[in-house]
Amino acid sequence: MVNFKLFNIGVLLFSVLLAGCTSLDECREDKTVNMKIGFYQKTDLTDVTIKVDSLWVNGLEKDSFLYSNSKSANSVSIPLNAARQQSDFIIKFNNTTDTLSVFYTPNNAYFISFECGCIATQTIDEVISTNHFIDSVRIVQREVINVNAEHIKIFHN
Amino acid sequence: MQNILRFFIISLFCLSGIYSVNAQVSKQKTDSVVKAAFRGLRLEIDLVPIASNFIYKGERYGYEAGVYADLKNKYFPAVEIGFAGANKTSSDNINFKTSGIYTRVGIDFNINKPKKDKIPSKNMVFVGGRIGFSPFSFGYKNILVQNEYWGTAISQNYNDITTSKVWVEIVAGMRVEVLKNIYMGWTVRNKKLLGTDTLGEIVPYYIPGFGVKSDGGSWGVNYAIGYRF
Repeated sequence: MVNFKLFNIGVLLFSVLLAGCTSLDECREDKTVNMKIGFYQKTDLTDVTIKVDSLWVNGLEKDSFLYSNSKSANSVSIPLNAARQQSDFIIKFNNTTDTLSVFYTPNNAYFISFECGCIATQTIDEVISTNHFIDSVRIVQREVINVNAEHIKIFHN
Repeated sequence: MQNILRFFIISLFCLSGIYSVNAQVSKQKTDSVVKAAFRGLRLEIDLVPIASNFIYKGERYGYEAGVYADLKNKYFPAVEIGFAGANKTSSDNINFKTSGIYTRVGIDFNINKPKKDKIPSKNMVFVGGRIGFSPFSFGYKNILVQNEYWGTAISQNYNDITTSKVWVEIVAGMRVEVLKNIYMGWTVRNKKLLGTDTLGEIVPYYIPGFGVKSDGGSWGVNYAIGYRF
């Protein structure tokens, strides 16, 4: 009987301790949302990836580079500007420069968690480019979320 | 003198007669109490929120009370009602706020079996189950969507989202009669939320009566003081 009561009081103390534990509230998830572009050789049959010897990518009117002199790149992952509905990129393939414009519709906020908040996701509407190195562009996945999937294929002739 | 003596004896007889009738009535009463299915009600309030309100400094708060019927000292149908809320800010400065009432209904099974030829113990050890329900509203403030490369930031608020959640609980605990008809004891709960969320949907961080929402379910502890009628 005495033990019964002692045990009972022990649990009271333990439960107060347990109630005092607070979980960490730091975001531990990757919140990066990028649009992925793959480079392909233009063929009539299957899409064959190509590697670009030297690749430079920056946003229009941005001084900092997303990719600077990347070697043997067969794809790039670049962020869309969530505050606008258009993002323009300058892509330099070896010595040839093209401008790529992506038009998109912002989606409703994509909620992750209390710790991480939301991410901005977009639906790609249209992609246009200059045609120096780029022959044509194809959208393969319109939804841009935090999943590493290819959204656009750039074909080189 | 004789008359007085006679009166005294008669009144003594009468009194003893009344007493014996009384004794019979009370005996019947105890018999009926033991035999009746319904043997009383226990009213409890939870002491843990009182301590945790203080510990969490308003980040979480709550009040809870429960009523338990005693059926044959074996089955204890339970109804618990509470009010709980949270107001918490994350390290990224996101503020979450909620408050709402909740209720749980279920049953406890007393597994403290009485020994043969002994008065059943008033202490109980139990396991049981509950279904919990809470209609509540919540909101997030200052969710910042930043884009490092483009140097943009959008701040978003989501206010007064009303929703309701249902969950199930497995409970276990014990109660000890510390003073006459006054019981104290604890209950641990393992809770599992029912239903699934759509990916990307704005979901509450904390649910009144359930606690912090997590994938693996939630644990809860009550430390209750109760009175038995």
